[in-house]
Amino acid sequence: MIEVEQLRKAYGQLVAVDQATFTARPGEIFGLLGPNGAGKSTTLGCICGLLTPTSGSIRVLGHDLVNDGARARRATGVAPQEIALYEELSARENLDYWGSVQGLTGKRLKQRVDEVLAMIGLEDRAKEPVKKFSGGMKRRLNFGAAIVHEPKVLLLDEPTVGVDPQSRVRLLEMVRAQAGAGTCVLYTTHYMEEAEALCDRLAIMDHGRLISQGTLVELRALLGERDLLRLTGSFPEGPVRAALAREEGVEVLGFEGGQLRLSMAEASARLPRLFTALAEAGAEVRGTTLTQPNLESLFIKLTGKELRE
Amino acid sequence: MRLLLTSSAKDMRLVLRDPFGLLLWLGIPVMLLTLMNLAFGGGSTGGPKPRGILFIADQDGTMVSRMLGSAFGQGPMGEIFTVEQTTEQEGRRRLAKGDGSALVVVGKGFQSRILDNEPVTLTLVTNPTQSVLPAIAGETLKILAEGTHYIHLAAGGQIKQITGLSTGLNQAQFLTASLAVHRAIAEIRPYVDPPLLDVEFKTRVEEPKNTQPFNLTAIFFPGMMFMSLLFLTRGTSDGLWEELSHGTFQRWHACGAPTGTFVLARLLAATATAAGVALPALAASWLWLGVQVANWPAALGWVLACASCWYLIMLHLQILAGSARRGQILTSFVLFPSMLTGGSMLPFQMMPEGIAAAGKATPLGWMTANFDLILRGQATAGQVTGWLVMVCAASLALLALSGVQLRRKFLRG
Repeated sequence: MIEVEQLRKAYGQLVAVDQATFTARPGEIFGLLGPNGAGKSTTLGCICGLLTPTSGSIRVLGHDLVNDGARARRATGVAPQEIALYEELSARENLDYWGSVQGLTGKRLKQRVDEVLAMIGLEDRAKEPVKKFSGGMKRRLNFGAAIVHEPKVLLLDEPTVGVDPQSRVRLLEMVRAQAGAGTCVLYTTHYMEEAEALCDRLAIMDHGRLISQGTLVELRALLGERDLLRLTGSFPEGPVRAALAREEGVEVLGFEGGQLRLSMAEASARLPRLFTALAEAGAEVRGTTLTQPNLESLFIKLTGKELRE
Repeated sequence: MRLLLTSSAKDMRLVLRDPFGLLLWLGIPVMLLTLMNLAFGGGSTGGPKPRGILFIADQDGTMVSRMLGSAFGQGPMGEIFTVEQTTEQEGRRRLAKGDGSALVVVGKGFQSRILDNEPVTLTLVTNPTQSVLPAIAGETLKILAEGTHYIHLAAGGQIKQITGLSTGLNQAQFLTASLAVHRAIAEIRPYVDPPLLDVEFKTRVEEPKNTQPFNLTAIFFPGMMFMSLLFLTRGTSDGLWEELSHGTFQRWHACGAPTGTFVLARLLAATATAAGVALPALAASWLWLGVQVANWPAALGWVLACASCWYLIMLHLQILAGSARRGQILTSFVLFPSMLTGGSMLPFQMMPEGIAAAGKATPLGWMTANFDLILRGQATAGQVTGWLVMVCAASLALLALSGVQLRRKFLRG
């Protein structure tokens, strides 16, 4: 279990994480979703003890990270965003080493290394140096090094960045298996689909703040049954805003440059009428994208921008 | 302890996976010493000796001038110099070409001035591109000049008598004159400057077995060994940046493992690597290059203690620098001046006295000079213990400081 309360991490004037509060439970995959620079890795760094919080408290399995940090860290497995492995050593040597650092010895260590090698699909390549591995294989081994000692808490910082689709699927399956075995998983990502497919509960972060959290169902409910409509073209702001204000149930989410983002129920049925209104206001529509309610539309609704911006 | 050994074994494994780097560290002292040995035509037992050509332009052509010239070709000088008789002009021309080490010009009237007790000038022209051999020639000439003066005082009359003969000496005359010269020298010996005369007599007769043969490799060896250790410790301390950039140090910390153990494990691996380099280098130099190793355990212990200390100095500088590039620059700022003044590039024996004394006061110079004493058996057990205590105390302080700074600088930001 991870309990984060009022976590704040500031570097001088720059506030990387601001008053973040959440709880991740055993057997649950808790996602931290947000764009690059949102504060996800900083939050994770504070939880695994690499960074000292400016204020707030973090408890891992009941151990306070400030007063009892070493015990908390020993019960935790971390797969950092970097491939934190020794490239000159083989896959087996890496797992052996990280297992030893986590306190495994003798037969138990060997058994766990064999199990993890099988789990991550690297039994055949166990003796090869890591430097010869593909990006996806390295990512899997990076994950393997985090779970070799069967941690109760698993911190995964964007573990699928830069991997091929096959490796990604395999990694996500392994993460689910860990949660299924009762491990509390904290998972950061900026991939919306990944968060939707994997996480039991989610917190959405932007500019260091948790702007919303809950289960996927709870978060979708924030949107209601509203579609997201993105239009590109030229839109004279004053007349367009006035025209849209006359349309019932249309919410303007974003209005910048040649892009207009709107939220409304049953958008497809209302499109002809909407286009007529926009044309009368002097707008010229060149492109249209209609999105069903999902995390992306929620993120846009909450922040006024797309996740990948 | 288990964690320390595991981590240290991993670091050693990483070193062994880079055989080129290991060979390079091992190769520096062996290669330089071998080159030195080859350059000076060394042998296996007596050690390498410098050799050069000494030109003598004897314009006087008398018995005394010939005696002076032939002195360079005898005894140990004969092993260093090949003496060639030449004219002054030819000698200068060949020196300018770089053919020889020095030219001694014995002017006309040399013998008569000596025998008449008048001032005499000997001219020594040296080759500016060489330093050791011309210096030896100069020193020898000074000794010979003094010796000639004393022989004149002791046996001037007899020599004058011999040189006055128009025909050659018969056996009886030669024997009489020799005995007279010998007796005169023996009588006057206690009253003239004994050290100057002793130099001649002791070297040749009294202590030939106790005197170490001249061995340039042995002079260079301590400095070369420490030069290699400095490169090695700088190279191994560089590994910190790989740990930091790959995130393995951060992962270590996230596992709840202590930073002090991390540093200590790296130190152990660096020391083991130093042992892997120093022991073969020491053995090879002793076996094939004639380097004396009077006390093996003390020599190896000293080298390893100093290597540990230098590793921690380098690591500390890397941490202070804060990045790999700045680390390279900062360690170079310490490495090269240290080697220049600390006897690694030029042995203290070849430095001017003042500079050598200053060099020995630097950390590297102090370590190198002590290593030299240990090799030659001139350090007592008490002295070696005292030095080891000092080095270990410095290492402990650096170890603690490095652990704290590593945490402060790269963790818990």
